Amino acid sequence: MLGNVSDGQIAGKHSMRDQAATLEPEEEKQPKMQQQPPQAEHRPRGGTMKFTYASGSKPLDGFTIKRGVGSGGFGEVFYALSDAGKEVALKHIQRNLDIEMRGVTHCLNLKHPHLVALFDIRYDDAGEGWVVMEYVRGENLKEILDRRPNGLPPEEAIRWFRPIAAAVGYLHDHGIVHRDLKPGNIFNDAGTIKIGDYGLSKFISVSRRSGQTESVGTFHYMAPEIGKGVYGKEIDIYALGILLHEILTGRVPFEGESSQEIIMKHLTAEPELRGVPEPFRTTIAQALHKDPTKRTSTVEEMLANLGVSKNESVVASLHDNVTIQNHAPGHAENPPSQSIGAADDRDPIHRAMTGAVQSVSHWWNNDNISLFPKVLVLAACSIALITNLGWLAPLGFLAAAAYMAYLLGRTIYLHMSDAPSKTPITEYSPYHPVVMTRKERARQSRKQKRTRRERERAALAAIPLDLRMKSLIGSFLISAISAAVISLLALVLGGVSIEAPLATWAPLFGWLTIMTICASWSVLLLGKLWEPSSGDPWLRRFAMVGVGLLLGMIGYTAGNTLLLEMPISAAGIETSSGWHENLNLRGWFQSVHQSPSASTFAIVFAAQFGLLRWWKQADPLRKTRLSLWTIGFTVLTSAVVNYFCPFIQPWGMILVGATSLVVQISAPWYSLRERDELRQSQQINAETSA
Amino acid sequence: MNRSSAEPLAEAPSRRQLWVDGVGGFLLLTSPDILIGQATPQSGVDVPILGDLSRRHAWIRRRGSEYVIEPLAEVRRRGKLLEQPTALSDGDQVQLGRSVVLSFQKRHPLSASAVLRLVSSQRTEPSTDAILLMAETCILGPRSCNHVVCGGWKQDVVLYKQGEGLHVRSPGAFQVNGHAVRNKSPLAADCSVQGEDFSFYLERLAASA
Repeated sequence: MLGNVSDGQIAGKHSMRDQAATLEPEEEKQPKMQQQPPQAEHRPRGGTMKFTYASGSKPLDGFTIKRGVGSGGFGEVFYALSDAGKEVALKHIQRNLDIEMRGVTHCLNLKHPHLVALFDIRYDDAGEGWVVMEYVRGENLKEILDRRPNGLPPEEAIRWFRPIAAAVGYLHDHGIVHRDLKPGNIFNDAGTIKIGDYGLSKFISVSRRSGQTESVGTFHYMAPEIGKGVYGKEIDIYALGILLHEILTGRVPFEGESSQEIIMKHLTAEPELRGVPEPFRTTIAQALHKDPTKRTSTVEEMLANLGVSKNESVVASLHDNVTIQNHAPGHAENPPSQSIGAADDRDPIHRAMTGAVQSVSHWWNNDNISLFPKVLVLAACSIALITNLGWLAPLGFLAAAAYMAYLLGRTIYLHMSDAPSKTPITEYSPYHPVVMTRKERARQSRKQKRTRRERERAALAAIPLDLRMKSLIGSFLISAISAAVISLLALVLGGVSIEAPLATWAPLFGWLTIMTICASWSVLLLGKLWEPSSGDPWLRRFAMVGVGLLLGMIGYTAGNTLLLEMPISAAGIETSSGWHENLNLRGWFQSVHQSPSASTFAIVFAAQFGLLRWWKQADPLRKTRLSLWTIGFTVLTSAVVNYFCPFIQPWGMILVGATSLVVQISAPWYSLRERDELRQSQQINAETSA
Repeated sequence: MNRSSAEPLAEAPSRRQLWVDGVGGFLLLTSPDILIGQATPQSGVDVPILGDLSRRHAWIRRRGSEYVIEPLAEVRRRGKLLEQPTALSDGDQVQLGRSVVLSFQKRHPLSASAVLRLVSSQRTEPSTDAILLMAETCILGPRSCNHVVCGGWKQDVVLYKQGEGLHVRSPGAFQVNGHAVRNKSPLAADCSVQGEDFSFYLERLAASA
């Protein structure tokens, strides 16, 4: 290392001489920075910019290092000037010297306008190897995509992709596989695209397994068969597919927070390409085939899929114009398979039902059917339903009760057995870069589909307490107002005439409003408390049962205080001629002959709150802001509860429906875009505060 | 303005090369008046450009926090030929002669310093990524309004003028020429500065090339 210091002093002199016409004595210009010895112990680790050689040092005869540029898996890269003033990049090979050098030697005389030129291989006094390369001044593709997170428009994407593909094709023609294609290796040198870092990294698996300096990003471009030790040119095609996707959309198709997660997606998940326009979609889908033999076989083929040819111009620059065929090549009508990553954990009955509903709604929404038959069908169904309600309703409730019992049993069973993952796991050799045990893999693949949701949850958890309190208070206000409005509406819906004297309906209205507010506030409060994590649903249900008990007591007390006669026999109801008369067939309604006891109140409310996962209705990450299905299901549950535990009707059911409606209206809800923003801002915060 | 009568260069060089590891190389100019011209031996300009332009092509003069370009040859600002000294504002593109295009940036709200960048394909001599016209401070750091944008740095590092020389300011401990310092330190004409996540070098250049 001392040798380096003296070298550096010489270097200072030399570089001075060629940099500027001298106006001052030589001694004066000797940089004093050489007091700083090269810090061999400060190898770059995890992103910090510490380089072995300081500015002005001269480890390699004839070149003066000016600054560090970056570091890769095999060593550091420096910007240096030759004694004559030629700008070069010096790559210091610090690992697998012999093998890396053999690889570089193969590439030393390759010439292509879109490849970063290799000038020479040199060895320093210590016997360490250096690759002398062309210095590329411009931005790399990674920096450009960082600035434009939504990707580039198709024409510009082609302007980038064609020269990249041409250079990779040239490498393949010369029997060389790049193996490390990624945006950080692709540069825009004053309008000319250049690929660097070829001929290196022969030992991907070795360096990946042992290399702590490697970032997760490296795994984003790795074809699945790399795990088996297969390094054919197909892995470059795969990486080109990933690159094309990233250029177009700004993101890689397989994202994850750990290398294991990303590798698992490369092995099992299908890329989600719905947002990608043709002909890119098909081209990417064919390039990302898991089986290398079924993948697009050559770069030329890939370019042909895009409707551009490699030979259109040898030197493509970013200023060239290109046209893209707007139709898909070959079997374009084959839509790429959808993601199988999101395995279905709904129960089979639910799935069958949803399937049936979907097919019906598909038929319903079909444009070929005109309005008239639709109205006819709707009217016929309604009439059939109303006339047969007498036997349909109890049957329906029985079925619903049976289904709930089944659901409960299934959930408990799944909970107990912790069923193994259904996702098929591709076998790969123990030489895989990251060796995972079977158990780990199973856990990984189970975890996989939830990670996005989990990240969103984590982002929610990061919202400061005061903001969350603010949002909760806002929700409370909205819910109070909407509760009053909805209670009034419910009153009318329930057949109470508002024209009647105030005294006849005001107590009922008051009771409904108070109960709706109390119920929705409890749900909102608990939902806010529980939103940062997914938590144990059974514990939460238990807590909800407690809340339900409390609400039951409040309901009983409020009813008594308001001197409400239950079952309500106010004049307003007697005069009503509403649909609820039809429900008044058998079962629960007649069985209430006097006001329900406090214990009935408690049981009914506890059951209604314990049976459903109410906090999900207040979750900011729920699927839609207001789901009529959820309200319907909630009311149905309430009906089932009331069937077994007689309660005042229809007000019990209306109260539950109103609560569900109010909760969903007043609880905050993030759209998909807002969730993405939230997640990203949280990630940025996490990264900057780290 | 006669450059040869400028301040004694041995004590406080007005031209320095700033090498920032992992970021780039910059020409750091501390004089309020900057002469731009062709890079020829003994041309005596502050910003020598290897391009098709006059030996002495234009002055950029700082007055307070304003910058004025004074054409000595053909200069266009935003496509318009300049006859007389004209003020520059952030984002201006200045064309010198037929083919040299510079962009002028003055982004940092707390500093009067500005950044010149060669937009066309020519290079300066010595080659740089940008030319820093330093008023009182030059701020290196992760934010995009900084004079030198250094992604990956945790916080700003400020170079500032004090007396005849340059000083550096950065919260916490760092090293200047291998000596541990805290928070701030004067800088020699040639020096290395290394902190937790940053490292850069200052190298003096002749007062004018």
